[in-house]
Amino acid sequence: MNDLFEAWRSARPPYYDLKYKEILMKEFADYGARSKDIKAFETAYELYIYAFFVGLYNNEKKPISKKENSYGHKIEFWGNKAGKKFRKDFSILQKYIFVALVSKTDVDFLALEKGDISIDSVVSSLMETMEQYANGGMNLIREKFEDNESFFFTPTGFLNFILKSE
Amino acid sequence: MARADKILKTFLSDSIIKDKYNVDSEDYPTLTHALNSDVPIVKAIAIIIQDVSSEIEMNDKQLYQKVISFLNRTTA
Amino acid sequence: MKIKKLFLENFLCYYGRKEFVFEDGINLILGRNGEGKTKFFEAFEWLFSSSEKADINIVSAKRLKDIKENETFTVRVALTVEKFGENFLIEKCFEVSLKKSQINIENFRFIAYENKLDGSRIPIDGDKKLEIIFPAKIRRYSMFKGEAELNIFNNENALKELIDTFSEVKHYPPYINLSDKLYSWFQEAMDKTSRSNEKINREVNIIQAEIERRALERHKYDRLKKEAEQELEKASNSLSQIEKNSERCEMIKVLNDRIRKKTDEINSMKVCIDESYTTFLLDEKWILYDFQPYYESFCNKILEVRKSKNFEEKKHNKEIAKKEVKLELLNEATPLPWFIPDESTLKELLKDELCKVCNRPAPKGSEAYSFMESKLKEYIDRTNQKNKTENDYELLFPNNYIENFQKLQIELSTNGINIENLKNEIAERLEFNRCRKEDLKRLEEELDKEIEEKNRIMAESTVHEDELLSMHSNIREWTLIISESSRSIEDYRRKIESIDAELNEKNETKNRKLAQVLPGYQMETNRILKDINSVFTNTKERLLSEFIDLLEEKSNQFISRINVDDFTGRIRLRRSKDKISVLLINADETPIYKPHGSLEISMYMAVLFGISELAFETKEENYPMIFDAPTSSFDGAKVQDFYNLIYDLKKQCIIATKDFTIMKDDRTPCVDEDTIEKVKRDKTYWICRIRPFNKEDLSTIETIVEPYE
Repeated sequence: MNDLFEAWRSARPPYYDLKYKEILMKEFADYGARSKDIKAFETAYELYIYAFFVGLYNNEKKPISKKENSYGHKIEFWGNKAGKKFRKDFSILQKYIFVALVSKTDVDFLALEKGDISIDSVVSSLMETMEQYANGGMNLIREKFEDNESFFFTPTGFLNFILKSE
Repeated sequence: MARADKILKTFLSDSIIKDKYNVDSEDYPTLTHALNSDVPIVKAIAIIIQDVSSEIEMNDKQLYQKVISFLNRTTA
Repeated sequence: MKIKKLFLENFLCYYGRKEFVFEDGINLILGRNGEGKTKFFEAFEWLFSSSEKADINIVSAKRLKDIKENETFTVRVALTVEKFGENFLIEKCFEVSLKKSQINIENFRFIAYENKLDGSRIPIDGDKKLEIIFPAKIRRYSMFKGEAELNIFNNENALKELIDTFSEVKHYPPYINLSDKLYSWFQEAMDKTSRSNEKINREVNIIQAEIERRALERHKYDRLKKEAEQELEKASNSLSQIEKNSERCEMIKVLNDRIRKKTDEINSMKVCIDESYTTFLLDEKWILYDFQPYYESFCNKILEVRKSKNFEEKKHNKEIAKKEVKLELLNEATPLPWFIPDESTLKELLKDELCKVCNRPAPKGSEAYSFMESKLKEYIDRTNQKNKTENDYELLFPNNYIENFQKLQIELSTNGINIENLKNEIAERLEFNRCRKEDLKRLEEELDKEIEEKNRIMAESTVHEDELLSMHSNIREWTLIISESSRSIEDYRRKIESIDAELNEKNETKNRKLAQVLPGYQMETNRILKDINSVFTNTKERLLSEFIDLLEEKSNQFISRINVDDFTGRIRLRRSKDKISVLLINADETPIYKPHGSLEISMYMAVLFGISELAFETKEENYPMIFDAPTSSFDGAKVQDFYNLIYDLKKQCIIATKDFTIMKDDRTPCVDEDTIEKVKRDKTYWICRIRPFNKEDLSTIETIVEPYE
C-alpha cells in the first residue's frame, strides 16, 4: 500500500544531538518512571515535538553534528495517551508533522510515483528535515535558557516562547 | 456627750430593748439617768457601761457580783 | 493638717537642694515619664516609713560622683507641716563622706522640731511626732500610687484598721466579751444549783445532751449552707462572665463560619485554574496555532504534483491506444480523481438525470449524461483493476502515494483541527485564568481580613478560643448549679430554722425544769443577761454595717463624679468575716466581673476619697492626699473631670502627673500650654531632667524643679 505516512511513522525514530540530552532533556523532560520533580514535558519525545515546531515556525534548520542518541519512542506511538489520566490523545499531530515535512522537503514525488526512487530514501529525506528543524528549535531554546534561566520555569514559559515565533 | 452616754444611747436603740422591754432611749439621755432607772435591764447595762468606761475598772468578777446581786434583788 | 513645703537634698535624681512649696488645694507636679515623678513620690514614702533608714541607693549618683576626699555631704528629705495653727518640721537625713577612698554613711537622724513658746525649737523623735501629725492609719489611705498599688484593702487587717481609725465600732467588742462572761458565769451558777436535785438534774442533762446534739447539727447545716452559697456565687460569676463573653463567642462563631466558607470558595477556585499550558500545547493541539500556511503549502504542493502527474499521464496515454474511456474535461482542466464522486453517488445522479453539483439537468442522451456514464464506467473499471494483472497495462506511474496524500488532505480538512480558532482558544484560556487569579487574590485578601478580625477579638478576650466556645455550652451547667444551689440553700435554711425552733423549745423546757428547782428570780436574771448579750452583739453588728454603708455611700458620690459621662456602675463594699472587698455592680445588682483599667482605678480612688471624707468627719481634721500618676489609664475628657473633681474637693492634693505635658519636636519635654490653661489649680511645678544625660549612667542624671505660672 502506497502510504508514505505509514512508512514514515513506523520508521526509526529521529536522531537528536547528544548535547541536548544534558542541557534540555534532563531539565525539562521527565525521564525516569519515578522522577521527583514535575517536569514541563512528561516525556522526551514531547519536548522533541515542541522543538520541531519551534524550529519550523522560526524557520531554523540546523543539521545535527553527531548522529547519536535517538530514543525509544517510534513516531507512530507519539501522542498515544490512551489509558493515561489527565492527558489527551494528540496522535493527530503526527499527521501535521508529516504534512509540514512533505511541504518543506525537496522530494521528486513524480519519481516516487514512477518508482524511480525508493520509499526508504524519501522517508530518509523527510526524517532529515525533521531532525534539522528539531535541532534548530533546540538551539533556540538553549539560547533562550542561557539568557534567562528562569524563563522556562514559569507556567507560560514554553507557551510564550513558541507564540512569539515569527 | 461623753462617749459613755453615746454608747448607752446606741445600746438602748437596739430593737430588743425597744420591742421586748418597751424602753425609749430618749428617756435616758445620760448614763446617770440610766443608773437611776427602775427597768432592770437598763440599769444593768448602765452599770456595765459605767464600769468599762471608768478609769478605775473593777475586775470582771467584781462587776459580775454587782450586776447579779442587783438583778436578783430586783427580779425577786 | 497641711503640707507646706518639701525639701529634697541629694535624694535620688534630685541633686543638691530642691524645694517645693505647696498651697491649699490642688498642687500639680508635671513631668514626663522618667523625669522624676515617682522619685518625688518615693521621697514622701521614705520620709514616712518608720523602717527605712540611711541607704546608699537613695543617694544622688551625681553628687556621689563629685565627692572629694574628706568631704561630707547630706542626704535629706524634710517636710514642713501645719497642724492646729502650728508649724512643724519633720526630717530624715544622713551624711555621706569619703574617707581614705571609702564611702561612709553615718549620722542617720529622724527628727521633728517643735516650736517652743519662746520661739526656739526643740528636736523630738521623728517617728513619734509623725504618728501624731499624720498617723499611719490615715497615711495608708492618703497616698495613692496609681496602677502600681491598687487594692488598698489587700491587707488582712485593713477592715479592722478602718474601723479602729474611723468609726465608733471599736469601742464595742469589750462589752460583748464582758456580757459573754457574765452570762456564762451565771449559767454555771444555775447549773450548780440544779445539780443538787438528782432527778431534775438527770432530766436536764438529757435535754442538754439533746440540745448539744441539735446544735451540732445546726452547725453542720450552717456550714453546708455557706458552701452552697459559695457555689452559687461562683456559678453566678461564671455565668456573668459567660454572658460578657457570649457576645464575643457569637462573633467568633460567625467569623469561623465565614472563614470556612471563604476557604471553600478559594479551594474550588484554585481547582478551576489550570495552568498546564505546556501540556495544552500538545493535548489541545495549541502548537498548531500557526500551522495554516504550512498546510496550505502542503495542499498546493500536492496539487502541483497531481497536475504534473496528470500531464505526464496524459502525454503517456496519448501514445497508447486506449480501451479505457478517456474522459476529458473542458478547458483541459485537471479531472477529479476517479473515485470522486463514488459509485452510489454517480448512480444517483444518473437516475435523477441531474448534476447535483451545479444543479443542471442531464437528461438521458445528453452530453452531460454520457459524461457521467463514462465516469461511472471508469470507477467500476478501476475498482476491478485489482483483478487484472499488471502486465495488462504498461503503467507510467505504478505507485500512488499521491492518492494517499489527497486522502490525508481531505481527512485533515474535514476532521482535522480548526487551526484558525486555536489563537482564540489560547487567548480565551489565558484570559479566563487571569480573571480567576484576580478573583482568587481578592478572595484571599477577604479571608485575611476575616482572620485578622477574629484575631483582634480573641486578643481582647482573656480566654482561649476553645474555652470561649465551650464556655457557651456551660451556660446550662451553671444555670443548673445556680438553681440547685438556691434550692439547697433554701433547704438548709429551713432545716436551720426548724432546728432553731426546736432548740428554743428545748431551752424553754430545760429552763422550766430548772425553774422547778431554781427560784423564779434567777430565771429572770438569766433572761436579762441573755438579752444584754444579744443587745451588745447586735449593736456592734449594726454599727459595723452602718459604717460600711456610709463608706459605700460616700464612695459612690465620688465615683459618679469621676466618670461623669461614662458607664460606671455602683460601688459595693462587701464584708465577709473581717475582710472587705470592693466591687463594682451594674444597675441590676449583678457584679461587673474584674473591672480593669481606668474603671478599676476610679473605683479605688472613689473609695479613698470616701475614706478621706470620713476621716474629716470623725477626726474633724483634713489630711492631704498625695497621688503618683493617678490618671495614667484615663483618656481625654475623663482626665479633665478628674482634676475638676479634685479642685472641688477643696482638699489639699499633691498630684505628680504626666498630663498636660508634651514632647517637642526635638524630643525634649515641656508643658502643654493649651491644655494646662484649662485646668483649675493652685500651684504647679515642672520637673525635668537636665539634658543631655546618659541614660546608662545615673551620675549624669539631675532633675530640675521649676515653678510654673
